[in-house]
Amino acid sequence: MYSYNQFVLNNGLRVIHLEDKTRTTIVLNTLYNVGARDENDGRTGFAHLFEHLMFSGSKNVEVFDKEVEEAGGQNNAFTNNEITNYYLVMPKENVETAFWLESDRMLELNINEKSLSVQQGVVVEEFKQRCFNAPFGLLWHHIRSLVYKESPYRWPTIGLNFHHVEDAKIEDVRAFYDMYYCPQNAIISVVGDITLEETRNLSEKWFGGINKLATPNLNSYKKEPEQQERRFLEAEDLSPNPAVFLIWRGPFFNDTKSLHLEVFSEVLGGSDVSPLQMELVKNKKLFNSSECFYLRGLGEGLFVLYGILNPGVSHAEGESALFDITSSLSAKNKDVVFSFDGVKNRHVTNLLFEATQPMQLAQKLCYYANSGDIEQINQEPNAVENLSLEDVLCTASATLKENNVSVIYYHPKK
Amino acid sequence: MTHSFRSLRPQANTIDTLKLQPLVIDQLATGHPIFYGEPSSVGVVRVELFWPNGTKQQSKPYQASLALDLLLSGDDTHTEYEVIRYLDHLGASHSTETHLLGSSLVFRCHKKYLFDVSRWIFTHVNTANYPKSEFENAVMIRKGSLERQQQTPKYWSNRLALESLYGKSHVLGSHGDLIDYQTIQQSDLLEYKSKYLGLESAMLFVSGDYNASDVGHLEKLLVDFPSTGFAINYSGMESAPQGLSIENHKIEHSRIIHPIENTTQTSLQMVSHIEPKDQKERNSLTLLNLVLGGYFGSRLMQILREEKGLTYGIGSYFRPAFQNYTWTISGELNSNHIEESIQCIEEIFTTLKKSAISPIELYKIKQYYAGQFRSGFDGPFALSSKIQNLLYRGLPMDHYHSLLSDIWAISAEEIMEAANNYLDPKSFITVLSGNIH
Repeated sequence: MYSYNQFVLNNGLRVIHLEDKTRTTIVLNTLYNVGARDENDGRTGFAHLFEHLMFSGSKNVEVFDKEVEEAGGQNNAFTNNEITNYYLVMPKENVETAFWLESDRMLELNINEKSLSVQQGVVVEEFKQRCFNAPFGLLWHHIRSLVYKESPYRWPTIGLNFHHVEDAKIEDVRAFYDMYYCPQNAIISVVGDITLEETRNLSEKWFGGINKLATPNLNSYKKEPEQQERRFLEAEDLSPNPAVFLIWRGPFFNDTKSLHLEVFSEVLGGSDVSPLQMELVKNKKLFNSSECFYLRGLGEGLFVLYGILNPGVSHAEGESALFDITSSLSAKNKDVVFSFDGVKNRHVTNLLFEATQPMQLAQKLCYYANSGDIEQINQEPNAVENLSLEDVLCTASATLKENNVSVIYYHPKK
Repeated sequence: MTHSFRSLRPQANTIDTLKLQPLVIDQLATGHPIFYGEPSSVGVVRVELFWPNGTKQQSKPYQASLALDLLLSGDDTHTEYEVIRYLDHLGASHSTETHLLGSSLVFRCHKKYLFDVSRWIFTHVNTANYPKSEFENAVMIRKGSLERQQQTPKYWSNRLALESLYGKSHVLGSHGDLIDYQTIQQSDLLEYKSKYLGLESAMLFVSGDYNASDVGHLEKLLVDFPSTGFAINYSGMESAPQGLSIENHKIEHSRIIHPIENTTQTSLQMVSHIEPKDQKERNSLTLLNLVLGGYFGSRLMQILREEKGLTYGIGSYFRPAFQNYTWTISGELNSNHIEESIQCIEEIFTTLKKSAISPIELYKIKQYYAGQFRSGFDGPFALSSKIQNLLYRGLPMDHYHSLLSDIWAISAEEIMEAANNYLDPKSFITVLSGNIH
């Protein structure tokens, strides 16, 4: 059980505190409730570009990273379709520097043409590195454009194309900052050797005076209608091995069924001897790699199942085998029951290991709070232990059907 | 509300102390060396079997890593499916890592299963005989993965750089290729295992939620395999191939171009072999590397990324080359500005050789180093890699206790001297791969 504390400043900033006296560092994590789903389709990749600009200095901080490093700390950030998350890990004796830096860029970021132009160049290089120079680098472009037709989940965080990033204007940056980077739209967590009183005092001192007139992001994007047909896409890729991907939409984070699908993915493919590996890779030798996972998003979930084909195996054979293995798991099969118990054991063991990682914990506290139910962090072990195999398989069979699947066939680029 | 107080940066304290108990390698009654992490009631345990043998001992590519990775792939009594499935059922996980001079098999589990998991793993490590089907499957999976890696510019810049620097036949330069998967045999793995991965030659690391009775249990499991001694073996490999050391080897025509069709960036690798004289010079080099490209605030990142926007990431680091290092600069660059980027890098070299870094930058890199160094000792599972680093480099067990004060004692002039000794563009091989002509 995590004995965390929570309080809300007068300006609406939510603060979560978790004391861990065994550490020499303190993590200050900041989650902003804004991600790629808050962009419009002519300006994709903007939330991520903005994340880069948050390191360009602020009213009282000329060079953000220099101050972090001079205090002996480190920092980084990530953006996804739903959130933007920043973290600072500081030696405990210098924790106030973390509050100073994080609050100053929330108060007044240094937005200027020069930093925008440089970071546009950096992000374009990141786009090329991730999407054009790696096997299956455009996978998320393909998946999202196939699965989503109307909602803003139809583009990946990095953006539909890098011209959108290049076209961003300084006034767009300012408007985005004013709209989303305010206390009411943020949650911070503080984890490490720091008391609640110290956390409260530092939060009040550094964040308490930030009064920006903005409203919390209500995430009122256009919702995606239910998919009621098989969708199909063929694409070429750098990979010399062809591949088949099957993707289904699924329930969002707070729905218990999303945990069902996460556990189902682990039973199906979470080990070197799980059915995907044993049957399709090692026994039938259809694939030289096959995996599956469930992406539990705050607004949407995605179940992804794939196989990278061995020479001589057709895409259709691969697809058929992936379907067959998915529907073959039965609660009456002793092997499946044995695996299910193992997955639950591993889940609980992993949660215990996670408890020894302050940065992961700090991020998780913010994420769960942003989902609307922070107490899930304490309910998670029981929720996993109490799962029934029948429920898990029932959710899987109701979700992973042939008439709502999106299929991608990859061919080697000629 | 006024925000005037913000203009005063909070006082940052200097990080110059590390509270660390003496590091002691103990010994089981069976003679096996063991390192005990400080017990912690976290509910989970980590155990590592560590062998003083790695790729240095292999007679052909992939021999060491395959022999290690397939230690739990079955034997005369159990198939891989049965071996792994039992571990899965108990919620245990395991991982392997092969280095130049050592190999590790790590397993983690809930404390209540430590007895069953360790018994099962020790038994099957001992009896592993690499069944044909599992061996062939591992080769098939790895070949597929290598085929995909070989499509990326980064794979080729890295490979060509090391092959050119050390030679394809030297362990530091050799890279396995697809064809090597056709020649390696099960018998190669058995041979490697019998010589280098026996329970008799292992060291143990235990950390997390364990007690004396758990250690007694591990000891009982090893009773039939008394230690035959543990030592990292450097013989014949103290340095790079003869003639490569920086004093007598200047690389001419050191730029290698490797174009790859359909790529949009250029992968850069610059490599140089360096042999520091002593620990003090190592410390100077550590700080010099930080200034050059060892963290976000480094010159490479600040100039090429933050000023010019020519890369998403570029950095420098030391790869272990026995007791020495392969100094590496690596990044994915905008293909339209390659010459400008390389010129920038050389200008950074020149500046570091001509001018001592400022007191502000010196303080910053030492603080950064100290913060990262100290946080590296946090948590119940932190120490095994630290101890292995000492063993790999033949350093004393009290090395870390004085390292922070040694680092703080390094002067800007000593860093500049290291730059003058080692930052010679002519001693670096430069490889450009991807979108380059």
